[in-house]
Amino acid sequence: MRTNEAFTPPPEGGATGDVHNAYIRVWRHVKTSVEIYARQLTTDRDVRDDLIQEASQRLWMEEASRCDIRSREDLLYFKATLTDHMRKKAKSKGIAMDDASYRVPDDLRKQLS
Amino acid sequence: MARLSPQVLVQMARNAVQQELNWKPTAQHAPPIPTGATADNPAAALAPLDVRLLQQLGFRAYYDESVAKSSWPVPLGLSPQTLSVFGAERGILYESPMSGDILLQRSFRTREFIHAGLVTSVNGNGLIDDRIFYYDLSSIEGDTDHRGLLYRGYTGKLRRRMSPTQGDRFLRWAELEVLDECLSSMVA
Repeated sequence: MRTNEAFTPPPEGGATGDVHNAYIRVWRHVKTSVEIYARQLTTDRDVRDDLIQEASQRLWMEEASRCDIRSREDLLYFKATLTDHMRKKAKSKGIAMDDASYRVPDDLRKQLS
Repeated sequence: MARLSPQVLVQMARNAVQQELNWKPTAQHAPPIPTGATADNPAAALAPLDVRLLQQLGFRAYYDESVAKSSWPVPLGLSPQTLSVFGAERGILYESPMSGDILLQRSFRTREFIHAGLVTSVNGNGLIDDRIFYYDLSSIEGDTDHRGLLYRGYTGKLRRRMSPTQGDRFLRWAELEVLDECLSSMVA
């Protein structure tokens, strides 16, 4: 399945591209899911920001250019990976989570199945 | 039997991209079968756009006008995944890059190789989080954009980070032997 993705014009002149910029593009697609999941995990705003930062760092480490942003499956897989990472980090920080928080978010799971 | 110098390809690719191909649509200058090549097998025209660029550059870099033949030793029509199989079978798939190698980027989700490019220089390496080893490279790639995203349709020069820890590999095609009779003056 393909998602809509706006045409990207090439840079003017002979500039050399930088793959680190892929991070910004991919983060835009996963950010909302990450933020929603962070809200499910905790009501503490500081901890929530820490968890979002952890997800952001994980995306950067995994190298966002591996994600085909036209592919819904790829985006869902990245979202599931990042939320799972947040869950593990929350657990390691000793954040009390309810049962629902231990799972990959329901909407993601439905779409993945 | 002899081997080709990968620097001939690197130099030719750098010049071609610098002078005319940079951020132009890859489909415009990377035909399914490289210019001047003939192929009886219809599968030879099936390479994806990123590999088509490498074929075109490789074929032209080692093309000998006098015999109307190219010494480019990599078969036509392969995908990044089949390039990796081709390399693994011949023992030329490496975890560390060298200038002239074909970079093969692995998908995070499918664990298959999904993108290929030409390594023009290796600029450094390092560790992220004591876990992920990476190389910083300069490359020339097709079917991408200035962010290095997949399937974006353009040819360009990129700075890229590749990680053998995450499954990325490098095809050292220059270790393939070619027949002497196919060689031009560009032998290593």
